[in-house]
Parts: sequence; structure tokens; C-alpha cells
Amino acid sequence: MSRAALLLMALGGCGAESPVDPAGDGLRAGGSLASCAEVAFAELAIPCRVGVAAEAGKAGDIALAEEACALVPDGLWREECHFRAGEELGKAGYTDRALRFCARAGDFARNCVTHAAWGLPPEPGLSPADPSRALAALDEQLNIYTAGLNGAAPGVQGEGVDILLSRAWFNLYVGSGSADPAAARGAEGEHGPHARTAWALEFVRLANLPPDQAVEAALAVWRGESPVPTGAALPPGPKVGRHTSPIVAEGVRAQRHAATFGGGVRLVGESVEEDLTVAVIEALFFNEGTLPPAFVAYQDDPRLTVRLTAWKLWGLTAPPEAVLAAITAATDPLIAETLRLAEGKNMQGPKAGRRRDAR
Amino acid sequence: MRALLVCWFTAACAAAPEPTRLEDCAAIEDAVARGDCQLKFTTPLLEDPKALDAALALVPEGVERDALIARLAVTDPRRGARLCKAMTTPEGQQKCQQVLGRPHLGAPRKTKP
Repeated sequence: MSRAALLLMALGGCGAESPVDPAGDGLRAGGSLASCAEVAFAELAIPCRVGVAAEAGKAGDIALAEEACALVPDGLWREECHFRAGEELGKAGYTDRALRFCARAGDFARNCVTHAAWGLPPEPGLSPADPSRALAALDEQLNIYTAGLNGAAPGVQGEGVDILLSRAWFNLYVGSGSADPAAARGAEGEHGPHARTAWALEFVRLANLPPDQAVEAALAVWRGESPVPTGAALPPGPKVGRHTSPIVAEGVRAQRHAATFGGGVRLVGESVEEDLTVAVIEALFFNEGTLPPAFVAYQDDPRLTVRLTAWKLWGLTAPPEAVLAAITAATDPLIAETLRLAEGKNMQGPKAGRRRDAR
Repeated sequence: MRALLVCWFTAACAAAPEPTRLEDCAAIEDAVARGDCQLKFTTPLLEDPKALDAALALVPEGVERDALIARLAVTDPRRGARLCKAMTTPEGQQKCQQVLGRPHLGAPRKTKP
């Protein structure tokens, strides 16, 4: 060995050659699995690969998303990888593939399905004006959802299908410019509550009535006693409104609930007309212009689902001091608990809940 | 001369003392080894936020510290994700925003750790 070579070796340092800026390279790495493989710190290669899976999901590249997630260690980060890929695939409209990723998202499966579902674009060519086609398409969607979530953790499949159906019906009606109830009237089984939720949203938007007239007017249109309101369709793009995460009092946990916009839930009425009433009150809440007194009229309704829905929505929108006073004054423990839960997400107070997530 | 050089080279490689505390890591010339050294001394502190904050204050602000924070956040997102706000470089902040700062990662796990 020459003297120069020995000197070079000594100056070059000991052991294997190290990258000059492994920290910066690790933080900046992304865009391809090859780039992630170059990362010197194993921990930083993980978010790099998760990022690649998400980008692959956006592009509908299942193979790359699978490959990226397979390189992420099993456990929390593998689940997160499936979550990221699943939600992006959902947003890009690859529902069945999205759900297969969500089903493997472990603890994050519900979040994944919610994100994927509420990012789902509308099915092209479907309209409430063609109810038989819409019903057939939504039935097919139900099969896709059920199959896609096969093998998910216990409870995820049922809840996931509920969330997805809610979105599918939302996409059919909301912003369509048609409150023709024919498709919703034809919705059976699992479809029913979601069809009524979505129809009520579009009815309230198009009818644009004072809130105290909305329920009766909706029932009249549903029964075919009044003409169907029509109006301008909303431009393509996210359709947003006031919403909240689930509020479910312990005493009504066993009662049937249906998923609503953005990850919330609503009570399902015992009969179609009771359920429509609940759906219309919920639709009034979705419309941000509706003030708390609109819900007061239903607080003494003899039907439990209607009554509790009205208290919940009032508790979310009334001034926090008034809600706290009502909690103290409530003699029905179920109403008191509902109000307590709603107060925690009150939209006027400092703990204001989520209101307008773009979806 | 050749023998002398080999001897000097071997001694230089072997002489680096094993770090016994976080501050010692700064003396390590190799950037990867230095980063691993920092991680070794800070990971056990994830359960003690005050001690971890104090330890991180010993690492100069910049990409190297942000990478350390990111590695801690990946190692234990529930405890480490809060550190995201301490990142000072654009690449660190971006990594936090895109991947590490997602709120569900900080939630208690229902299944396996």
C-alpha cells in the first residue's frame, strides 16, 4: 500500500463510509422506495415508506402501496401505512381497494373507513330522478363495501358499511337539485335510514322553509301530498355543513343509530315517518343558519328518538350557559346525559366542536 | 513509516471512548453514529417528559435535533408526537405535519403495542 493511500484512509475516518447529512436526508427523503432505502436511520425510513404508500394510494397504484407497507414493521406503523393508503385510495374513488387496506388498518380501521368514505366522489351518472338505476347501483355498492371489509376487526365491517352507505346516499341526493323522494322511498333494509338522511338534507336545502315548517312540509312531500321542491344543483366539489362526532347517551346505546356526515351518528326512528322527522331535524342542524330555537319545538315530542335528537342539537348550538342550566334543571337522566355530552362539543363555547371539515 | 502510520490509524479508531451521557455524543465525528448515540440516551427518557425536554435542550437546534425528535416520535408516537412542535427546520416541520402529527397516532392503543 502506498503512503498516500494509507494517509487517505486515515483521513477518511474509521469503518464504513457514512452519509454527510443523514439527518437532513432522512427528514427530506420521500417520493420513492429507492429514496427511502437510502435513509441511514431506520426510524426515518418508516414515515418515508408510509408517505410513499399514501402517494401510491392517490395514484391508485395498489402494488406500490402494498410494497411500501410490507416494508414497514408490523404493528402500529404498518397499520398507519394501510390507513394512509386506504384513505387516499378512497378519496381517489377506488372504493373496493381502499377498503381492503382499511380492513388491515387495525386500531385505525374505523378512522380509515370514515376518511375513505367521506372522501368518496359521487358515482357518475346517478341521480334521484332515476330511482331504479340509483337503487340498483347503491345495492351493488353495498356488496362492494361488505366484501371489501371482510376480515376486518370485529365490528368494523358493520360500522364501516354503515358509514359508506351514508356517504353513497349523501352523494346521490345532496347538491343534486332534486328532492324527489322516489329513490329514498324505495330504499329497504340497511339503506333506509341513510336514504332518509340524504333526502332530508336536500329537501331542507331546496325547500328553504322556516325551520318550524320543515318537518310537516317534508312529510307532505314524502307522502306525495305536496309537490317536490326543486332548485339549482350545487357545483361539483366538497359539500359541507355543520356536523359533530357521535353523541350517544349510555341509555340509548342499544337503540339503532345511523352514520351521518363526517363521522357522526343519529338516532333511527321506530317507523319511517318518525325516522323522517329525526332526519329533517338533523338536516336543519346541518344547515349552519338554523338557530337553537328551531330544535326547542321537538323537545317535548312523545317519541324518544325525536325528543333526544332535539335536545342533542339544541345542546350543541345554544349558549353554553343555557345548556348548563338545562342540565341542572333536567329531570330525565337521559336528557341530562345527552345534554352533558352535547355541551362538551358545544359550538358556541370555547370547546367548539368540528363544524366544517371539507369533505 | 508505513508501520508508524498503520499504528497511528489503528490507535485513532480504537481510542474513541464509549459515550456515557448525551453530551458525549457531540464528540462523535460520524453523523450516523452521533445520531444513534443521541437516540440511545434519549429513548429511555420518553416516559419522563421533563427529563426528555431537558436532554433535547442539550442538542443544538437544527436538522440533527429535528431528526432525533422525529426518530423518537416514530419510536413512540404516543409520547413522542408532542415534541413535533419543538422542531425548528422546514423539513422537520413538514415531516411532522405529514406523518407524525396525525392525532390518532397519539391515542392509546386498543390492541398490540
